[in-house]
Amino acid sequence: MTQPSLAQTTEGGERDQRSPKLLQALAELAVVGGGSLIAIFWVIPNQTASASAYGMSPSMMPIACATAIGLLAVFQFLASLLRRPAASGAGKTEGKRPGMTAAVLLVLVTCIGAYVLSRFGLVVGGIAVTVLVSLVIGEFRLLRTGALCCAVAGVMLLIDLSGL
Amino acid sequence: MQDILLGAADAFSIGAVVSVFFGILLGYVIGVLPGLSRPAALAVAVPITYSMAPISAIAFLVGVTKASAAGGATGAILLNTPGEPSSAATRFDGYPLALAGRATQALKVALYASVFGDIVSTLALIALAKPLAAFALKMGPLEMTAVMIFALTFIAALSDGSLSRGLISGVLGLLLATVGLDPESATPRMTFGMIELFDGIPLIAATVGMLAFTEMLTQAEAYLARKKRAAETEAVTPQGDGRLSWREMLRLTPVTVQSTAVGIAAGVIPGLGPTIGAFLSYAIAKKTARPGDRYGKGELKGVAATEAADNAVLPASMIPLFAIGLPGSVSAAILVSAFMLHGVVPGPLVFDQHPRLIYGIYVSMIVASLCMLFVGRIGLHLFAKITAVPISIIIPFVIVFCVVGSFLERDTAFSIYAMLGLGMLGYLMQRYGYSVITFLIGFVVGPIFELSLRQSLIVTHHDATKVLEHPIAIGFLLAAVAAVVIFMRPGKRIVLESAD
Repeated sequence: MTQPSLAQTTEGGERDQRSPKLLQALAELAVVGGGSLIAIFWVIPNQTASASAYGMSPSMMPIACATAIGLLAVFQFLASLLRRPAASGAGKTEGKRPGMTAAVLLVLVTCIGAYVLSRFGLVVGGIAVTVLVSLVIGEFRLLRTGALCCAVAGVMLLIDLSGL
Repeated sequence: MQDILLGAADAFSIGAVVSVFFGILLGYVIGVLPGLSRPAALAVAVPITYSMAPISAIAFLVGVTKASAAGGATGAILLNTPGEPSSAATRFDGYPLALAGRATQALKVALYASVFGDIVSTLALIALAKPLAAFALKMGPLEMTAVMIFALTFIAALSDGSLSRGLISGVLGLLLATVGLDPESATPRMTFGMIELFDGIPLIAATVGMLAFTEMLTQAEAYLARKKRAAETEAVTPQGDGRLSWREMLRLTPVTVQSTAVGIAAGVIPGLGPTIGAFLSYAIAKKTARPGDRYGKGELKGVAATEAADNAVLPASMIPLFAIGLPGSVSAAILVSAFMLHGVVPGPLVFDQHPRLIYGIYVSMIVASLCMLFVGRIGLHLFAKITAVPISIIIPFVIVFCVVGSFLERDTAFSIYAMLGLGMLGYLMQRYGYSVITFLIGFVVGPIFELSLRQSLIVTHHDATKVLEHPIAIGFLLAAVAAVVIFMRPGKRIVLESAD
């Protein structure tokens, strides 16, 4: 039985590493490059009123920036294709990235808190944000959350009274 | 002379001194707490200054920044967890010293070195900013545009991740800075019909969202992951005599002076920041070690080296800010928003337009350094206890401040939603290797950059070859190209996301 040579194993490993890398690079190009194309051909022309200007037209700077982002995204894509894959095992040390559930939930509950704050004022809004955020991060101890709410309410009351 | 005296009188007014004191106190607490970085805390602190007089507001924020840099050492020494990324290098010698029962000595050295670095760097700021501003006034719009292109490229090159991602972040900052009314024709740009966007994306919402809120999202994620593992480092309590002899102090002096110089250099060069400054200074101190020095195993010189450099960075990073209006670090960029909030635009003209305020700030900075020594020395053991505050209390508290701070800027919920949107953008950028720091610096310098570019086009009559008649501009543009070429070479990139 012939054992695969070291060169073959490395090549195979590189190929294995390369396909997810290629997908990642493609996804990045699609998001960043696609975003810049949307900005150049849709957002900026539709959302910028034309006006005669001596120095620069109002849309010139945004278009220049969006074009630069698009070109840099293409450059980044090509660079990630040309870059040699990391040495065997290097990728493993990075570990798996945690999911985004906590972050998304925090944004959502803060949105709710912001709505409460705009409707009912700083004190109620502050308490709402504190309770909701504490729940998202798994803090269910009533005493601790209650004490934190009291502290937040005190600070919010001070801000309210100071007329900031 | 009259302006200097008036500025000093303002800085010694009760309001300004009290602001410095509370700023130092708050800064220490922030610095000590692991999980709340200096730029994030500074971004949250800016809205507190809305109703303050300009001198008190800036003095307060300067106090927060300086003390948080000094306080970061407490966690690094006692907990092996730096309160600030820039104090990470302090762990190398600080924690072994604490384990050896010399925690108090290490904390004292960190404090004295921080105060020394801070005062010397502030003196450098006072000596250099005005002459450089006078020179900058001789530069035209073309030169200013070239300087900004160079600075953004350099900052992008030093940011974490690839150079192209760094540049994309900076240019995205410039792009989002164009939202609002066009400066020349006053026509709306990318406002989607929302009146709230006519003034542009709120600056405070951007800084709070991108720094503080993003950081809380990351911390919450890390906290939930840690909860599963339940692994905590045991804290060391400062104990023992902890007295420092004069002989020991003299032994530490050369390395403290050397590291202060490194910190000043790291502050003046845009993009380097305190983390790189502290690591660089530690590396140089280690390279120039004398026989008998025990770097890495518990050497007081190691603590002095990192802390002196860390604290020397901020005052020095204000040199380019006052001289040419370019923030050298993200803390300086946040200070720009505070200046603008109080009707002051930092740049070379500030010495002519607000001399009294500038001299007042200088004096306040010196007062803040001395106050830091006083507060730090008195509260040495007390601050050590703050390291025990759990992150599950910090996260909700900081998020509430993010929400309220953004709300107070314009008194509308729109600012909060803008903060949340930018916070999510910052979180995604960080997650996928795009530099938030470069984005924010691009966002802050965006309006000045656009103005300079417009003026350059008018001056050159849209003829690119006219640039050749401006050697300084050519020099900076070539330096930008050189930065791209040098940092694109494999192995030449400094990968240290400094958070500042």
